[in-house]
Amino acid sequence: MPRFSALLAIVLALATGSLRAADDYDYDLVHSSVGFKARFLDISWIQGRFNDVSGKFSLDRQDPSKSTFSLTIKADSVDTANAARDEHLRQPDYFDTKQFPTIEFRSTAVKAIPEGYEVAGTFTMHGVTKPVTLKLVGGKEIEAMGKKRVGFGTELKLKRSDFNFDKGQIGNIGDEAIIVIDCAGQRD
Amino acid sequence: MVVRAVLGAFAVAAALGAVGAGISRRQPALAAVAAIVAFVWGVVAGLCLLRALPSLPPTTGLDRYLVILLPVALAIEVEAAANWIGGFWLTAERGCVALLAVPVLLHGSVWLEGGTPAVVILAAALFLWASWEGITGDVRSSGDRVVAVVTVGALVVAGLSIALAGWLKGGLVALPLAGALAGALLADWGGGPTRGRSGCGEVWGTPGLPGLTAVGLVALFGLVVVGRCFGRLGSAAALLILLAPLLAVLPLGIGRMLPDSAGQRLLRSARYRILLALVPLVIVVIVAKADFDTRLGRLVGEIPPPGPVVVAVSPSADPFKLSRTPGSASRRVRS
Repeated sequence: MPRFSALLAIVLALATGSLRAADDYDYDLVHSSVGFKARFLDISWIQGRFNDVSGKFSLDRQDPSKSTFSLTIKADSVDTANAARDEHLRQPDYFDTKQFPTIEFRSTAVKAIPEGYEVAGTFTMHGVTKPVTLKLVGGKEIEAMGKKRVGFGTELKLKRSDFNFDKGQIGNIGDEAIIVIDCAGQRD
Repeated sequence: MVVRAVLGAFAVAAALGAVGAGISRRQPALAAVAAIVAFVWGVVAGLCLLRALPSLPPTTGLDRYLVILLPVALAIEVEAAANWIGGFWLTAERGCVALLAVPVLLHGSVWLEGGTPAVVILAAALFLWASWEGITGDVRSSGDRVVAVVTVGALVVAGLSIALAGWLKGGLVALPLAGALAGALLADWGGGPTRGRSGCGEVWGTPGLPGLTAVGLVALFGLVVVGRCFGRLGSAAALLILLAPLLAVLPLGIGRMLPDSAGQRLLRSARYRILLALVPLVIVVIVAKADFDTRLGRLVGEIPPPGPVVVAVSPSADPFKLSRTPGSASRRVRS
């Protein structure tokens, strides 16, 4: 009888998913942001953000190498608080959003570090895919507003010229851009 | 850099065209091929000077325009000029290119993946094929130079409009194309009129004129499509630009149908047809400039250069006075 009860408990646990090693989170658009900044004439920073972002991450706390992260940014949603500049940025001199509508990150390897996770993956922008490694700081799960939530923050420095951006447009706006990702995930 | 690119394209095309016309004075077919080759080298020189050579493999609409559409159109016109093909096969080749032009230019973009209606693509293909086949055939038989001149103007206007709408590189690329076409046409006309057989029939006028006109029309069509779909060239502006070469040739056709009269002579006069074609082009430029002034003009304002700035603390009422180092001059910048 005890053996049957144990078996039943295992079956029920499997059915409810409570024994699953990985937790799957949806990107929480309301409490997340993907911003960027680039030098303007090497005297100041131009800052902006992408308003339409989606993603998923699966965290396996027992075996972090099985965790996965993915992020998809709609390039068309670029927002620098200046409608004319945003239109300019959408054109082929910059993001060419009709040709390259999304900016994507896909993880390929994950390992735990004291601050969170070190995630290696591919970053695709403007039709060019490059390997990058992100240091995701965070990862502590809390329960709030009826959902289990986890959050990460990271910064990614990249050169626009590496992603085949028009070199004629590099000068007044610096080649290097910093992408700042603060994302929260949620699950039931 | 832009002026140098346009002048370079013009000079290379004109020089090579003149050499080609001189060498092949008694061979119209060879002279026609030489005119197209001169245009090609003019474009290459212009794009090099502009530092706007396409990337390989082509990934953007502009790359596919420069690497696929234009070379294929040039190859067909070389075939036609050299009498390698003619009649049905020439028409069929042009038809195939016209049918594939828009899908190739928009390959991999949201326009095709989002499901642009097939009827739009077919209408664009039909327009390109009809204007390519019809106008080139008319130029071949009449030796009319007006369409070629208007096409050069339309290329310039398309380029300016695309650049003013915010896609600088896309717009500037048009200018060496226009320069090379003007140079090749000038050299071709300098060679003097000939009469002979080339392509699909008897040729009047200068030997390179039909091929150069055809290439100019395809170049204009492709540029307008990429400017409309990837840049911010409006639909109305795109249509008006494409309409200009038609306005240069339509009165000629109407005039031929009328009995000899003052009206008929007016319709056939080059000056009248150029003026008629210029109307939509001028409208497009005015609207593009006004749109630029209201939208992007503020992003391209005069601002201080990134020279060293000294913060001087003085006991006056203005404690923090910004002073600029001598010799710094303001310059125009983009966003």
